[in-house]
Amino acid sequence: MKRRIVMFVILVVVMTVDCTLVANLNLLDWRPSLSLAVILSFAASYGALSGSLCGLCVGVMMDLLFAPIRGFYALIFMLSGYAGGVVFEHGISETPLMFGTLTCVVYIVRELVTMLLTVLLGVRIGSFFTLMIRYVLPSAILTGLCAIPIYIVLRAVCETGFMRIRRRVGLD
Amino acid sequence: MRFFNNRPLVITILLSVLLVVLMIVTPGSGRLTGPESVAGTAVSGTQSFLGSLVDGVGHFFSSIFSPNETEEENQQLKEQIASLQQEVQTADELKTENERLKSLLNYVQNHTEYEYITARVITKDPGYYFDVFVINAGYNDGVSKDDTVITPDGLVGRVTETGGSWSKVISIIDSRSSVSGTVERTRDNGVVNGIAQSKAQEGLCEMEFLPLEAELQPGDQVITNGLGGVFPRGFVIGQVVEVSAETGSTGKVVTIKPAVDFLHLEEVLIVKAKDVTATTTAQTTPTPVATPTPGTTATPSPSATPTPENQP
Repeated sequence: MKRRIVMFVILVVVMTVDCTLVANLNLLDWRPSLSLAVILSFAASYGALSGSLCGLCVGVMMDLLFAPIRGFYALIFMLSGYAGGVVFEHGISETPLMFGTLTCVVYIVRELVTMLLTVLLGVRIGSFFTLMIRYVLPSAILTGLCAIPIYIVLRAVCETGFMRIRRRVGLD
Repeated sequence: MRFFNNRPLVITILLSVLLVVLMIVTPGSGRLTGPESVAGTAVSGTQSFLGSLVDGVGHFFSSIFSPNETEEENQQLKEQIASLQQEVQTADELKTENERLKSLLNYVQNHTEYEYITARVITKDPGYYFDVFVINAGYNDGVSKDDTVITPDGLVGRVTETGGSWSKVISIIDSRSSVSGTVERTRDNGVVNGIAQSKAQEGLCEMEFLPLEAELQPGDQVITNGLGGVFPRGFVIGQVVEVSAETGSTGKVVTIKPAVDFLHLEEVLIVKAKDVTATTTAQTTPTPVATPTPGTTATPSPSATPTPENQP
């Protein structure tokens, strides 16, 4: 229970940083997703189900605050967390660099899925290539770079005291 | 059977199906239900508190790395410098906030045809596709769905959902947003639409349905015209920055730069129609009519009649 509370608090804090500090920073309109990095860190430490539920938690909070319809961000973040967890369970080497690369890839896939759902909602999107090259790819790279220190810190946190689980990753 | 043994996958699929159903049956509905409002209040309250801490940390570090003061003073007294920098930062922050609030107050005092509710922006959607933000005023403060949101610079957007003490606002640069507007100089009517990504990231909009023969120029101001009944007339939307040589199927298309700086939005005003109860009472209360005496004519006393400008 303590572990889940700590995870929840970390997710809320990081989501707040995403929605306040990152949203207000104007780094050429590149927007790294620290929430995604944290979700995937938990997925790497505790498995696909944990990643899925962490994503669901963050997504529900974002749905309450921003989404045009309920379930929009919850679905996207949940699937991102699950996908990250599955990749780690299938033996990808858990080095910080690989983690950063995986986060980058998951970010791009997430944005593609979000774009698809947005178009299905009837929202107009201009040039797909401009969006991808000008905003999504640089943001993905930035997310991957930010994910490396996040992964190192959270991995250490998840291996200490009550945060550690006895069973191996992927079997919960 | 192996499929059903994969517990994480099964749970994720079930949750996905549930979320898709939720997306279909529960579009945004104006006033949030009790549990949603309470949950949103908890989340937005936490965000507001943590956001102020995060901003403080950000400003502290930016002041530490500020080249002008740090380089000189660091050589002398580091501790005093850090303390003085913090005081200066706090004073600057208060000064800037004071100027912003004075601007809001000045606007409110000079535009008495409406009533206003002041609110602060708590959080913004960090994504690329929707330009939605949350303010710290809800139905307990008098905010309703579709209320117009402005700043002294111009039109910001409208309220889409309200909780008890917070509300969601969709800005005019959101791709789902449409505002009926008029070019002030030429009086041509059109519709100002937000655009997802690219131009939206520069804070631009497009104005469509303009007459093909409209002669617009960069610098022309666009204001709301009140058509559609959502936004009151007379609020500044922005300025024309580019007149496209090509025309769409809906007529001439121009690019508009909104008057509001959406990247640095902190306080907003929610526009409310003035209470017309007193005026209505005066109209409906029958005024006593003097019994005509021979040789005189009863003259009804004048009652207050709302002029078009005073109507919401």
